[in-house]
Amino acid sequence: MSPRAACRLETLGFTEVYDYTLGKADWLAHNLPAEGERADRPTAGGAARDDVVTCALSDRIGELRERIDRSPYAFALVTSGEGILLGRLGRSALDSDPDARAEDVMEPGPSTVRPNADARALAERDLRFAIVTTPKGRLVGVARREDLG
Amino acid sequence: MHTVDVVDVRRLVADGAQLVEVLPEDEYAEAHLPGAINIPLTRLGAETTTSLDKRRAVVVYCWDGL
Repeated sequence: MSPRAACRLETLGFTEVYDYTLGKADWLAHNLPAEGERADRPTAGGAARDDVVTCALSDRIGELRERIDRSPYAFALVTSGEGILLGRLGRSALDSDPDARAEDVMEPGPSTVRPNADARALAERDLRFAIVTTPKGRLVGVARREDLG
Repeated sequence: MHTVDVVDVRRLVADGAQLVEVLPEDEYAEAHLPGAINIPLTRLGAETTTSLDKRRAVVVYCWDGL
């Protein structure tokens, strides 16, 4: 729809026209401000905390256990240097060989939600937490059930 | 016409670009980008764009481009 609108504006004499193709879905998914009747509804992004343990692909499991024991979660998230979510280290991975690398024992591609996901709708699902990422996969944080409403 | 991402949009708006949402009125009313005006695509024409400054940049968007 927006490419056609941009083209139409050019035919009307507008000389500097930009098409934000990814649109409102992308804007809201980045947890950016919005205006309107439903702009202030609680979202997963608003509820997300940045207190989950993160690690690199090359980190050793044995070095992570103590950090995870001190965190509110029984897992860690594996991210790239740019903060892109790559995997999750659950209990079975953490019980594996201490010298194992995160890359070798992680669960790749964990389920995530976008920051603009409706927090109340998520709260109605049987979730203990929701991992929140941007459309490009950058980790925003983890929203706990008690924070979703 | 240029395709832009969220970083470009924020910069363009900071530099004075005009934002136009081309979705129907009810979708605009629910939520829209700060400062955006609404001109639904079905009504986009010479008469409905008189409030826009042709000398300034315009960024148009819908839900996800489709």
